Amino acid sequence: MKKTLRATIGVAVAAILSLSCLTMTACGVGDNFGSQEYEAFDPDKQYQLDFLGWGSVAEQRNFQYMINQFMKENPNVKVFYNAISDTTTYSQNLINRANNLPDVFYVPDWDYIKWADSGRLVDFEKYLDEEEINQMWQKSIDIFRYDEATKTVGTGDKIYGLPKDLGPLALVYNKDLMVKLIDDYDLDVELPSATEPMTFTEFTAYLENFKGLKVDKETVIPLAYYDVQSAVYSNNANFYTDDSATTSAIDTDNFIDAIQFVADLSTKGLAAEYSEASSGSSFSKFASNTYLFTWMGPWDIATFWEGLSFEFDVIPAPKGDAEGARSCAPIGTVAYGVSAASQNKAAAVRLAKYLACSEDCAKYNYKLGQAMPNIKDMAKNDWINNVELAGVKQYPQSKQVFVSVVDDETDDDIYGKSRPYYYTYDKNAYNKLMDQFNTVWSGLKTAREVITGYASTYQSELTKTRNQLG
Amino acid sequence: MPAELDLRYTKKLHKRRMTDKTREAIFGYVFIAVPVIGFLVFTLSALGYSLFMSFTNFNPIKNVFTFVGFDNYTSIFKDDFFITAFGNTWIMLLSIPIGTFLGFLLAIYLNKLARGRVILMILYYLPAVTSSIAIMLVFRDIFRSDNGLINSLFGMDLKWLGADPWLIKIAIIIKNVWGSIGGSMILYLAILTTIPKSYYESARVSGAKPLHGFVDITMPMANSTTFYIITTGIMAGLQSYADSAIFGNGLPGSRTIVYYIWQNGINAAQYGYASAASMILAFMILIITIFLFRFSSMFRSNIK
Repeated sequence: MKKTLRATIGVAVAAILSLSCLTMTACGVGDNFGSQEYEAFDPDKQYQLDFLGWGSVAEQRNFQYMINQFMKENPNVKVFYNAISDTTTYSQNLINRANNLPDVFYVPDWDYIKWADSGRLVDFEKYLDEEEINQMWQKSIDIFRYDEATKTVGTGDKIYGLPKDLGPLALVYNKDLMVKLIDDYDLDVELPSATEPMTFTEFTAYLENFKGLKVDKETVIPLAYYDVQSAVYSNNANFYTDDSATTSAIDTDNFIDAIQFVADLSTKGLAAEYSEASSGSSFSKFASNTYLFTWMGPWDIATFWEGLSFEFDVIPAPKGDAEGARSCAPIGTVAYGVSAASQNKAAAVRLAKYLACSEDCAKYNYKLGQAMPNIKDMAKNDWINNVELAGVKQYPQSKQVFVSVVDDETDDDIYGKSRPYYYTYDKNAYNKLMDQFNTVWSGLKTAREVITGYASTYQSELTKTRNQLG
Repeated sequence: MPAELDLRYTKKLHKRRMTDKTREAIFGYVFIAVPVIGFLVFTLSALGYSLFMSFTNFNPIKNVFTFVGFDNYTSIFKDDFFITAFGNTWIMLLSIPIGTFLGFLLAIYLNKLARGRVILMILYYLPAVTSSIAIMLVFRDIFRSDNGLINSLFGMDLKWLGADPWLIKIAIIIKNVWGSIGGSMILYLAILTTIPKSYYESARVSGAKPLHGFVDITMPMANSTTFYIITTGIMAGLQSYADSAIFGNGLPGSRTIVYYIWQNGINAAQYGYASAASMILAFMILIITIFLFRFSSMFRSNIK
């Protein structure tokens, strides 16, 4: 009996080990990081490309159209386009197939540093000329720079991605509802300025005007939620002391005040409860006249055109009351990356450049309300002036707010900065920090209490994250 | 029959008997081959691989395995988020005994009901066949702090879905109790209908009160069902994920161990760390299963 038991255990252990070895072997087979050697495009050679992205059905349709245009211009290149509907699944899918990447694929900003550090992406630097770089927003190129020596993003010679688009955030308000409330309640309030950012104090006072007001017996909530990153950046604070994201900067007064400002908006009843204000429900409540203000990016324009029955407009993020504070909106972005192991690198780079840098794609994207053009002259002139947008809704009227956020050449009080997790290997440190703030949003604790108690843990999370860079 | 022939016949017969036995064995192995291979490939190898991964700091993008010994395990036990998830998971399991008990009472009531039994049975069983995601979304509305049904009904101003780690757990327990009553009720009804009425009549004749009938006949007869409901409920509860992700919307007070594994494994691609957490969960389930089966005799249908 004992012998049988021992034999059974032995067989089970052997089975586990051998099958595990098989699985491991299967996972580790044929690792190919490719090369960074320049490859010239050959118009006589036949190329076949795999392109993987994500997006809604409408976005996928638009991309298929742009790819078809590319194939018309390059008849020797055949592109097979695939898309995954949600970003988390996409990120995971891409990581799991790191050893067998598509030729061209999206690289989201929150994963950029790990891909840039992996050696699996083509460096575009030698494929881009001065003119191509200069015609685009400097930020859109700089975001995808990587300094291998210091392991820092946003700087260095290597460019491991080309921008799909830049996504600056702005506060959006329901213009029709605001006008109605001002008229109905005879408020001594003007529509907010699209060029002069309010301060935190002014913005709070502005929202107070609309607190408790009703439309069709429904109480209007002045603000859906306040973007934490914008609050921090706009109060002359940051999550780290510099872009290498090695040292915490959350225990400064400016940072603490920014977090408390966000919490106070909820506890004072000027913003909805933070836990219920996820972006999905924010949009539906904004659409149903429940929220007066929420946040949007240029990629939302088409959704807002389709989903809203009223006119809306945007204003820059309010700036903090701290010294040196300027209005700052977080910028989210996605890159087109090309696998260094691609057998058709030249064609893959050509496709990525077509989608990121060509005037045709830029114009097509903005007509669909899908993105702000990467080409700065087109954004500054055509896009904000609604050129070739006949037959399409013309708002938001103040689209220049988005331009001000990404434009580093103008000396205004508005600027943009990448989201905090763009600088770190993963989102863990940021997510865990945000978890701590749940008690602040609910008014159970003050920002100072939480940050003072958590600062050292946050620092160790940053160190852990940083250590993952080779 | 000559002796030589007799020997050959016996050998042939013996050989054929062996062949039949072998053939039977082959059939047997063929029948179990599919589930056994499935178990080996999809469960056992995954378990083995996960065990291996739990001792590494695997970087999937660079495809590099670095052995870190027990570092992942020690880090997990030092991580406040894991401790919270561990506690949350166990506290939320409270819905199992409560739901089981209420389902049992409901089954007794319905078993005695002469009219309307089927309709009530269907009504109470509906949550068991409704999409759990739909239930979660409906309950999120019920527990909303602004104009939510619970707050409006009882005139409260509680932020059930807020940062308070206890309120969100209570909300989850209430939701899960509501969702599990129907399933327990059906299983108990099935067993209650098989208890012969003569048991109760004999007890009554012997002078037993109705409470004795319940304690000494109904409960022992339903013990095997209770064991089944509790055991499967605990297994499912320990692997709960949607309560944290959908109902709790990721709030720390609602996070379970599986949500913790998802956060680290799927969301942050820290496969080694998440594998270690998975192994801890697997070990926990194993211990509880052994414990439950060890004490399963408590659940035997013994009538005094």
